[in-house]
Amino acid sequence: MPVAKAIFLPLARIYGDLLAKKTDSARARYLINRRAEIKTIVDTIWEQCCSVLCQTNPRNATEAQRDLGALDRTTLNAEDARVAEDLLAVLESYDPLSSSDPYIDHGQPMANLVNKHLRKLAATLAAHPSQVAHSEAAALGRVLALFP
Amino acid sequence: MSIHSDISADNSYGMKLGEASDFLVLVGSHARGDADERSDVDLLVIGEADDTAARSIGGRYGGPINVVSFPTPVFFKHFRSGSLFLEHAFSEGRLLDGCADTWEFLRGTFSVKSNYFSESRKCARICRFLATNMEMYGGHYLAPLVVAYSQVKNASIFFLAHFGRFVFNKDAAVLEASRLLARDDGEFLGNLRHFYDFSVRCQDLKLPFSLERRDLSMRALEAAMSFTEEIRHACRKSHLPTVS
Repeated sequence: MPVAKAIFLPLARIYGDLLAKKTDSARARYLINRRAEIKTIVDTIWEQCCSVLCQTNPRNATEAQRDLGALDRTTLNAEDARVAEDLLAVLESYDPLSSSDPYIDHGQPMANLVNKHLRKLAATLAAHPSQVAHSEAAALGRVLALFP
Repeated sequence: MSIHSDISADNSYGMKLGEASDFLVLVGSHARGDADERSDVDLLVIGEADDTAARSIGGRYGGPINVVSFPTPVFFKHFRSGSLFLEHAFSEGRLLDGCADTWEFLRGTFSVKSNYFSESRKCARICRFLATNMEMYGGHYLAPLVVAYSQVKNASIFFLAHFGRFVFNKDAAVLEASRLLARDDGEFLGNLRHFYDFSVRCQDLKLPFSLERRDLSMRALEAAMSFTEEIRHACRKSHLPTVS
């Protein structure tokens, strides 16, 4: 199990809230306002995945990216390899979360990260064989299925 | 060599500052003079100045460099809104390059905002999220502890500013806010900085406790939640519990 099942509820809440926003600007404001929560979710995913898949304890996203990049994915089963691949894509788009400059407009990079890469990773995690029987994963899967 | 002696010896770094509203400002601990071996070099670049050049200046002093860049319209937006960060830059910053007269004029006419309730509310919301989702961390607590420290530090600075006290040293702000709230865990909360420095600044530090200690991590996250909640409450009431 790459991540704790409890991760799915806050993820489902983020995507549920995004669905409820009617305009692009409202969605952008929401993502900027929730940057710390999204960062926590992403960070705990790499913290847990690196521990399980790489047997490493990276101290930040850059080290996690390094560890996942060095991982021989042929040694993993197909589902874990997909998690590693999708997580790497998230970490490659991590800049808006790592920036310590609160005055930069993170709207577009955040939208790209959350609507594209994190959503794909969330779907992969929710469909992982170790999670698929859990109601939390099912709840996230239902929310994600509502996105076009 | 200290950055200050270098500045006083030669105030020109060869930056191409073509406009009166282009500035390079040293902020943070190096500007205050309380930098230590853990300190970053924090630079504020305003206008069209080249932030690569700014980094090369900071790089001469060995510490990790943080650059905040404000294009001119962004700078003036924050100027008009009374940004606390600009108060920091004007009150403690040291102008490394740019027109000193213009900088002095801006400093003299700047007025910092006085109400930080919405900022304190956001810090409290984030810490509540961290403390009430303990199961999602799967037994690994670095991520929430790093974010918790950021919020404790930010909340402390906003709280003090809300009551007219401008303290930008992180350690001092957390301790002072804790003291004003009559809490006895200021040192414990301040020590969460080790997790932040370990992760964000890649510093090799002895951490206050193991990253797999659920009990102590939970205690820290709950302390951060109650601390920021007290700050939110005090800012909402605009009333300090211990100081009239």
